[in-house]
Amino acid sequence: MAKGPPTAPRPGDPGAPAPGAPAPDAGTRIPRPRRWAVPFSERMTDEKVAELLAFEPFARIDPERFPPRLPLQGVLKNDTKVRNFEKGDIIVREGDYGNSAFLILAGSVRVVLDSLPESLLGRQTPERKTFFGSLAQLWRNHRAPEVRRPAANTLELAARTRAQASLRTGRESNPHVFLQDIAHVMPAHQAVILKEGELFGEIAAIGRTPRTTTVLAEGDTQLLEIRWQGLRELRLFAPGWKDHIDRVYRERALFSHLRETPILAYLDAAALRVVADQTQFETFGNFDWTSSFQKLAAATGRERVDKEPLIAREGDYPNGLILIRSGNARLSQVYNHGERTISYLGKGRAFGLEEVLHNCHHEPIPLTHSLRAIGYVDVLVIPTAVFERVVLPTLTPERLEALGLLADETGAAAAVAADPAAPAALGTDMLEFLVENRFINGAATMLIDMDRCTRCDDCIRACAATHDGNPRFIRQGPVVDHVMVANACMHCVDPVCMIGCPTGAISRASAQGQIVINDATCIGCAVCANSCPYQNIHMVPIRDRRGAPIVDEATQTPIIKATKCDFCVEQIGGPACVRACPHDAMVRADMSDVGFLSAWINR
Amino acid sequence: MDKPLSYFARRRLAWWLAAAAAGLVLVGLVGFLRTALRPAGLYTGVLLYALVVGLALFNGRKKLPFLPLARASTWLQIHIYVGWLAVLVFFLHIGLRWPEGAFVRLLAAVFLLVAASGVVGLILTRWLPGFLARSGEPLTYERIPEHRAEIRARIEALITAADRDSESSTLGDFYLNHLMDYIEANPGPFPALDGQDRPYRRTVEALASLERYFNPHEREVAAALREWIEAKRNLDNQLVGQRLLKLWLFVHIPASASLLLLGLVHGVIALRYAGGF
Repeated sequence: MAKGPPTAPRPGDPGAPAPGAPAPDAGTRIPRPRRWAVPFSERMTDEKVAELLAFEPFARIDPERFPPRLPLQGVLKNDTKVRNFEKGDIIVREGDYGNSAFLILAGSVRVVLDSLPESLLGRQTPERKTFFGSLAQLWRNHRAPEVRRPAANTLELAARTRAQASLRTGRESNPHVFLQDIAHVMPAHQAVILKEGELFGEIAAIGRTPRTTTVLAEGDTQLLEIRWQGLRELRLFAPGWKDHIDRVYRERALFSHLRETPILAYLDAAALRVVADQTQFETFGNFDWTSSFQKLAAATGRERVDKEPLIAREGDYPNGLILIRSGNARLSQVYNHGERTISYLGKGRAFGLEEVLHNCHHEPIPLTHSLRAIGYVDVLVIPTAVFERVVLPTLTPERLEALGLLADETGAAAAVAADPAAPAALGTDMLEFLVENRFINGAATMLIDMDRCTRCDDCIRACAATHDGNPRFIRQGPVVDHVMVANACMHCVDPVCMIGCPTGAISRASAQGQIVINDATCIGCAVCANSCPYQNIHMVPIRDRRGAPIVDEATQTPIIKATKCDFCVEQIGGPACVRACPHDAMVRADMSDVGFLSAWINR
Repeated sequence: MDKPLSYFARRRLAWWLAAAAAGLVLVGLVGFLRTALRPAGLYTGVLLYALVVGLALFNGRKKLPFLPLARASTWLQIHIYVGWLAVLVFFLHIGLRWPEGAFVRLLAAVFLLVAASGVVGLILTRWLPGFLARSGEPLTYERIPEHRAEIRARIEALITAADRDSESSTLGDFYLNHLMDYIEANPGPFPALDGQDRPYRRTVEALASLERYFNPHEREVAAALREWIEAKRNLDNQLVGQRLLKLWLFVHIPASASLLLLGLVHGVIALRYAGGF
């Protein structure tokens, strides 16, 4: 009988040491990893922290509000770093995922409001294995599961090594990319200047979303980079910071989102400002929605729908156009005594457009659908009056058609939505299943066509072969119709697993947005695994080359690490699982691409 | 009739057309070689061995999932249609006559075994996944014994509690006379097709016939038992289906390795006596 690869023992598995229990055969002993064992920068000294505490935004913070285990000085020393830039240096790039915000200590920065050409941005391609490096996995993979080099897991050692390298080279390992020919490029682009004391980059850092703008240094500029764990503590324990960050977050998120909305694309800057001033910014659901989702696990479909925060109700008068800024929302319609899911709307989608456009020229009709928040949803509401006065005059029949909307027989802009991603082909059962289980959050959800899967486990063997003998997913999961959603990290649009990580070990890979875990800085606290609504992160005890457990030198308990699918970011060929399937049974699907999804399911 | 062809049907059609065109070219070429009194047997033999080696590389691809060597599904398509071409070349090579001599007869038999097991494997891999998906909850093959033990434990707990609570032996007798055998029984080697899974049907019918002796509580337990009987049926289907999906490879792969070896020996001998070296 063919046997699969050795699977990693998990807490609770027979033979796996339980976390907290002394290891029977204590192998390698290392200090247990802990928060701040690896600070954000080795060069943050107590003197620098003292200087920062005298700097205006921090000077107003009451240090007494911070708990003893997370003092303000500790946050500044361990979760921030001072960075220096020269004129033209790119600080953040539009489209990159970022995990930090920046406070301007000296100088100024230029926020470019429209997109710069890709060729100028100097985006780095992610580091991948070479061909021979990949081939070497054939003989370098360990026989024992979850083998690590103990030295790499001694965080103090890792930190010391980095500090020594840093001191030798005289700088932090943050190479700067600068914009060439800035004098010629800049006049063609709208920009705003931010000065000393202002904060930027917090939208992406807090919202777990890609950067919406590119920011350049205007001249010699000194910035304080605050990794998002530090930003989280500042928001939590310094109320002034929370208000400031939230206000700035809302203002900038609102304007940048409106700028990206296709239906507002024909507005000039002044008109857009008028719309922005009148637009209401509302949030529904919890930012950390995992716990409420887990509580609903045993609930019926009806109960789940009833618990979802209502954004707009079918039958109500449409007070405005609703734009989804982030998160996902359920579009539903009353069906007998319940509500039937018609579709789900993600970032950039509009709700109520059909009714608002109709009501501008005809007898008013109420909303024909309800909209409910699935998890955490940010919405912008453009009041009907503002839409009619400012936006409607710019929407000629030709432009409506270009936007995928059809003008009616009168030629006026009373349009009906011609949704190109109509999900009817998915079927109601599939839609309800994907929405209720919140699989629509996935950007690379592993779907398996059970009508084609021969259970050969080539996918698992391929995954193990590319991850040192350790498979990073389980070929099991809920099934609807003939489609299984397997237990593999979905690299979510809203990765709630990242929220509580104390060290920032789990983060987005910069440009592609995959969620990856830095094994060296993972302290094995399991916050990410408990937060993942889909149980796709697993905690494993690590071992040395001989297969003996690596244990904490003080308590003799096993060192645990979080593991999950990394979408083969280091592999030259991409995700090994999909490429290894001989029967075309597997796909990694972006669930926001309903067209692709329905085409794949109905192949 | 207007329904467009599925992705897989279009792909199949394209591959068949390509394979058929290649086959026609080969038949024409061999005919030409024979007419021209060239050693067609030698050429087709070399070609056939090259095709067999090429087909065997598919297994090599599986061992190197980390290299960008095209998708395994593309390899499988090539494997299938080059396999059909190899069958054609085999018949061109032997000239539609059963070879004489023990060694070449063995070689031919091994080739046919590899080809036949490949066809069986193709049929199984196209048919069984759908059968398993319709059967019920997907189960991991290695965990089926655990599931079987769990089903037995759950059923025994239900029966014990029902006997105690209802002071009746109806369900206990049913367990001893029917259910225990059904739960313990291993399924046959082939999937139970519709209407042929008699042990399952006998057990369900026996339970239904006891309906008149149940009190309301026993009726509830009987409903729960029916679900577990259904779970056992799914377990049997998953076991048989997945076992077949693995077993055919235990014929195909060793036979392929033998074919490579025997083919090499045959080639060396043939070239030696053909004056090749």
